[in-house]
Amino acid sequence: MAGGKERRRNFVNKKTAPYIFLLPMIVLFGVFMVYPVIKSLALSFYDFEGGEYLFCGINNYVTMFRDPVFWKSLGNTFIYLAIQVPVMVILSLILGVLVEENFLKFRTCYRISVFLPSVTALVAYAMIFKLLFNTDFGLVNHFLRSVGWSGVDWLNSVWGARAVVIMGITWRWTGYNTIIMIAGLKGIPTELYESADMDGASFLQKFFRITIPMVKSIILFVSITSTIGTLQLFDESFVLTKGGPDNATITIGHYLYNTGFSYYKFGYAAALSYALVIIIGILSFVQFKATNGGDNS
Amino acid sequence: MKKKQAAALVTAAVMALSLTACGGSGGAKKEASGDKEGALSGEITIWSWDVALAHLEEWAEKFQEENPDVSFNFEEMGVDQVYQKMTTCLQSGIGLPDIVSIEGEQMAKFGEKFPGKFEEFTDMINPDDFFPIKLSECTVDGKVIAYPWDSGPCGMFYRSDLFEQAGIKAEDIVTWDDFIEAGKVLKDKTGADMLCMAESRNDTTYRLLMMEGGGFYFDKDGNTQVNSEASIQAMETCKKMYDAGITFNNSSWDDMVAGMGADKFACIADAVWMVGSIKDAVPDQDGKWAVMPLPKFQADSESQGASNGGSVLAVPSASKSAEAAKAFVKYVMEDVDANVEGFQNYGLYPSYLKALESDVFKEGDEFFGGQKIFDLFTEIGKTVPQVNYTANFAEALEMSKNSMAKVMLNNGDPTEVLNAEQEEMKAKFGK
Amino acid sequence: MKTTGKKISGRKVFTYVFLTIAALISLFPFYFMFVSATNTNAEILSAAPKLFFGSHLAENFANLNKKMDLVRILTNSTIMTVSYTALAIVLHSMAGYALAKFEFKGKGLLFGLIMITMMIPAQVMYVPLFTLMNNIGWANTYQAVVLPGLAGAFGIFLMRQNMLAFPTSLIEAARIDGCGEIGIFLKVVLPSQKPAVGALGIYMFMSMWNNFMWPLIILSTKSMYNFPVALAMLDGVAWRKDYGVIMLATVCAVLPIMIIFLVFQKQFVAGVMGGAVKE
Repeated sequence: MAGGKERRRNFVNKKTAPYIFLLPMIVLFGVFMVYPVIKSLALSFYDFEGGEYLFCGINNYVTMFRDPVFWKSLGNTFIYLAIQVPVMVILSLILGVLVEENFLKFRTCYRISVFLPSVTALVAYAMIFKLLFNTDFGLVNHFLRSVGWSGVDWLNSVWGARAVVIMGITWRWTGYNTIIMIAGLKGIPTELYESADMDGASFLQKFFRITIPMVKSIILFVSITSTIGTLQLFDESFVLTKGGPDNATITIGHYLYNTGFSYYKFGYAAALSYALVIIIGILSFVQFKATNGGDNS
Repeated sequence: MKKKQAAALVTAAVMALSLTACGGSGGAKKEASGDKEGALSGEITIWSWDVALAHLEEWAEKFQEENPDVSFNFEEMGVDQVYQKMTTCLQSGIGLPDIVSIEGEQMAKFGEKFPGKFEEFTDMINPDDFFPIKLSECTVDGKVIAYPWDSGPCGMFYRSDLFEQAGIKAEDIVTWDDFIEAGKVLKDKTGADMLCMAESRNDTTYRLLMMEGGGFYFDKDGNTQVNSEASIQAMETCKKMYDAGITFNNSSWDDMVAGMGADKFACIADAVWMVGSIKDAVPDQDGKWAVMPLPKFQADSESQGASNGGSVLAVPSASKSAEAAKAFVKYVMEDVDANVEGFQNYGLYPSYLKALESDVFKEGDEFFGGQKIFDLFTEIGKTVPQVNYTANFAEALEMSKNSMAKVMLNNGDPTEVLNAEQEEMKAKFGK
Repeated sequence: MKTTGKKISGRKVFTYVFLTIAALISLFPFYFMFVSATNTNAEILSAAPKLFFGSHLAENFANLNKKMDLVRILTNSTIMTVSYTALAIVLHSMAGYALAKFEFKGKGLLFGLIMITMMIPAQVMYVPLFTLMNNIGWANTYQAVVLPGLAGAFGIFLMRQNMLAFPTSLIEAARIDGCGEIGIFLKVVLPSQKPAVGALGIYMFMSMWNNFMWPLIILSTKSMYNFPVALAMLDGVAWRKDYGVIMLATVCAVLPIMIIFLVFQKQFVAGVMGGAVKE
């Protein structure tokens, strides 16, 4: 029986199929990812001086460990990570569950409203946020003053600027993650909820005993991509705060960009990027292990 | 190659001479440049921004009248975009324009990081024709690799109406101490701050004061010297003003413009191009502004001028039409009419001294109550000493902004902060 | 479904209040953007910013038209975004399927390698990629923008995670019925993945529509720019900014993708409602 099928489909069979399905992506990865990445790794051992790349061994990595801005950007990134990622993951899960409530009217309206920020171009949203959080003329301070608080110097104070960056990322990305959560929630068989209902389970019981375990792999997915996204954060720091004041909001991605594309230290920038790769790798591994791989068994 | 360049040089020189000399009717010139040996041809792609681009576009048309075989292709982009594209293009050697606008302070970085990638103008340019500071922007390793264009000699813009209201006389303000005392009076009487100064967004005030005291981030050889006496004195003065509570935080360009309109501050210490910006931002404050030189540190000390901003034009060596591009650059940069029109139409203040002798720059400006402000700026421009910007200017600027923030926002001690900055710079720049 | 009335109403109130606040926070900046597009620069930068529609839309539009060729930019953005999204859906689903439902030599290694690429910041690759594109004559072309972006792990990972849950028994059953491997993928597996494909499609669509850094580097002429690059050019000059015009340009950049999303949203919901997952 199996032999007959294999003769008919001797080219695309169970053995060759995965390779054929993967082939286009392997080619794309080879040309547009592996090659430039290896080339950049080589660059990290070179110094760009006087129009030439001069081999400098691990000098760039040594400089990096002594560079206060590198450590500061690392610290900032972890502040964002520690505050923003958990908040966003929890928010998007709650939003996903609420939006999928059976009794909800105007479901589509809510879903669209929440998702809409993630379709906004970076320049657009940064411009809008900059205007809204302006110290003297922004609506946010206008509102704060009208309810009797003094305004906050949002973009020019250390924690004000950090808060705006965190609010910005959360505003922009929560809706997107909500949609991914919904995709996962949709995969939960309704029978599970129905039998729980028959057992008289409360909403919260169902949430913790059915919903969360069933979408564990999606939660993991959202956490990992958000973590990686935060570590690579560039746009928000670049456009909203320019990394200031006194590097209080600069991210590794932003410092890397400055180093390479502003100061022309391409080798050093490549070294920074590989430090970033290692940090992301470690964090993702820890997250993956902490949630037991996320595969539902 | 060399011969061709020499031919182009001669042609360009002849042409530029005849143009500046008679500035008009082109019969003779047509013969000169129509000569088969030296005829200019090719396609010139120009990257520039805003008004600089508009001005070059206008003069490209005039240039084409004399050189019909030269065609132009203009790409408008923002300053950051120009640098981003230059970075990748210089790296690969592909896709470069024939002429590019670069901010004067950034030119040394391009020149040092990419030696030999820009055409030389050393033999084409007479150093005495330009502000010395602009020429130093264009010079890397003793070679002139760009053409100086607009300049940024700095003065103190002030609101004469607010001064009057507070009973302050500009001529009584000689030193920075006088300035601070006057500021306290002004704040008391009008509620307005004396000076618009950034606490962390830029380091302009500190840098101007440092230049005024004869210092800079780097010495002539490019060695870091941010803990020099001039630098510490500048930072201390900034802190004194901040601590006196007489500064308005210049947190963004828009905030500054809005603050200007709302009478939040009386003075701006910045370059001559601010003239156009002020007129643009607050047209209704006509007649309420005036300019004085920056106050000095001691009443009897001799003040050196300070400079901020202004651009240069460079020609990447990869250009296939380098000769035509160089000729065009010299043509626009050394034509008195072009300089005058660039100033009148777009506020591009020339660094070409012959152009600055034109009548336009001797006239009073109504917006400034009829004051002859441009004479003042030209004199300041001549006194600004040459400095070495080095390849590290951009990073040094970034670090100095942070030092400003440390001193102003975190109440840091100027000497300690600048000593730390000196160490960090030395570690990063290796000198 | 029927529990005590009190509980349900408490839950309902909480749900509506929470969602309404979330929706308002999400939508307000857009409202502000639309409003600002109809106001002058001075009105936007005043101590009490205007929160209602003004009368300067036509004026802002005229100024904007002087500065950019809207039709051309719209065309560029559309071509790049649509081709990118279509290719991503096909190629990433294929790869995700292979990694989720097949056992083959080197699978673990390959998956690991693909996942690692997720951790590599894009900035690392710009200089080598730029040189590469120039060497093969692709600088300033649509494919130079579209193809490198496809080499991303996100879509593959998303599709794999979703396809893991697909019952292997159904695939085996199809094989026994004599269905070919490509047929199984197209007719059995893919139709069940509409929600995931929808999510992937939206993501790919918006990431290309909003793609900024790489197009900025590789596109060199105005006639090839996409919206973000054109917007940045408009915003590039620090002085003499006109926020009314900038906000109007922002509206032009955001509005098409909003409309596309609204259309896509319906299909997305329909796909979810079709219950393909549970078949």
